Amino acid sequence: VPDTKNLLLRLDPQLAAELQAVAKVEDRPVSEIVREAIRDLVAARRKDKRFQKRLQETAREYDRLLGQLRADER
Amino acid sequence: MTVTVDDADLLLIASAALDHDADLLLDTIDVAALAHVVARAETAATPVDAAAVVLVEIAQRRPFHSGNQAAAWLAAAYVLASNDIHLRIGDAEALALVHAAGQHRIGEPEVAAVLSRHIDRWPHLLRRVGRFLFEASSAEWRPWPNGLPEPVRRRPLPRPALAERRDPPTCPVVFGPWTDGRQSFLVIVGASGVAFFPATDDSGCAVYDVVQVRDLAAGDLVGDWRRLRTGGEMVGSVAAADVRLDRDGLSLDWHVGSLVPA
Repeated sequence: VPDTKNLLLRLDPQLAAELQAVAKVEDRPVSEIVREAIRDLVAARRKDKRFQKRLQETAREYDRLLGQLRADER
Repeated sequence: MTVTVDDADLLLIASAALDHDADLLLDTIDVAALAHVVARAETAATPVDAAAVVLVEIAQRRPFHSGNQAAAWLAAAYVLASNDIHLRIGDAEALALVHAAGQHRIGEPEVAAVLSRHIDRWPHLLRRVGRFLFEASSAEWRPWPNGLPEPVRRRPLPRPALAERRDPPTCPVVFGPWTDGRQSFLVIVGASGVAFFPATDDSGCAVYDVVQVRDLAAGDLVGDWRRLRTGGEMVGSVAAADVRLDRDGLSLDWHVGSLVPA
């Protein structure tokens, strides 16, 4: 797996322009800013008890199957 | 409206599927591939289509460093669960489905077709009520009174062994208007409910029409319950003989397996 990847994101023009502006001002790659946005979203979602409960229940229900799928990919 | 997933959902789902820390996973994901999965799922017409999209897209685009097949399955199951849809599918068939999708042998329509075939025909809420009914069976029961003929074929109510019984959970029952000597009632589960309306089937046997009601409001329980009935989802009917209330009239015993889907 390469250390870096070329990214292609489909964004509406205004959002893309804002993203590029932020990236230019902060002198950072666009992908890093996107990753940071996802990190903030993840932090918020971690506090969502309903989401966590549903995810845990679903993961528990398919625990054996998920183990098999993980093993198949190794 | 179909409930789907965003980037953060998928990352946390993958984290659960792979048992990896989400922050570490984030450092290695293909952001563009993940964004593509989310965008495609948003355009799906139905929850099953959305589940098929996330399964196929994750299995084929491989946005995560590893474990994409496990993430694909859990993401699809999560999308379905978020839309109150549950599957009954064996591990072998699910495994074959994910493998076939990952190897580009099948696409979204085929995956959607398989998922559709395995949808649990008992809605989630009904299954919860059914569990409650079985677990509450240590109470003393009396048959529901009715003057109508009972069904010809009555099935026995299965009971868990005494040692397996847990403390009966409480699930409020609210009684409503009378119809032909029998009373409507509603079992409240969280903010939703399952309403039982007296009716007769084609052969004249006493049954209850079972209506699933979401987002209950206090005002729904006032009056003749017409709004409750028309606003809910008719899921089927159950023989009146299979519906019994405990001595206090607060708990309901209903053999969920006897429900005839609408």
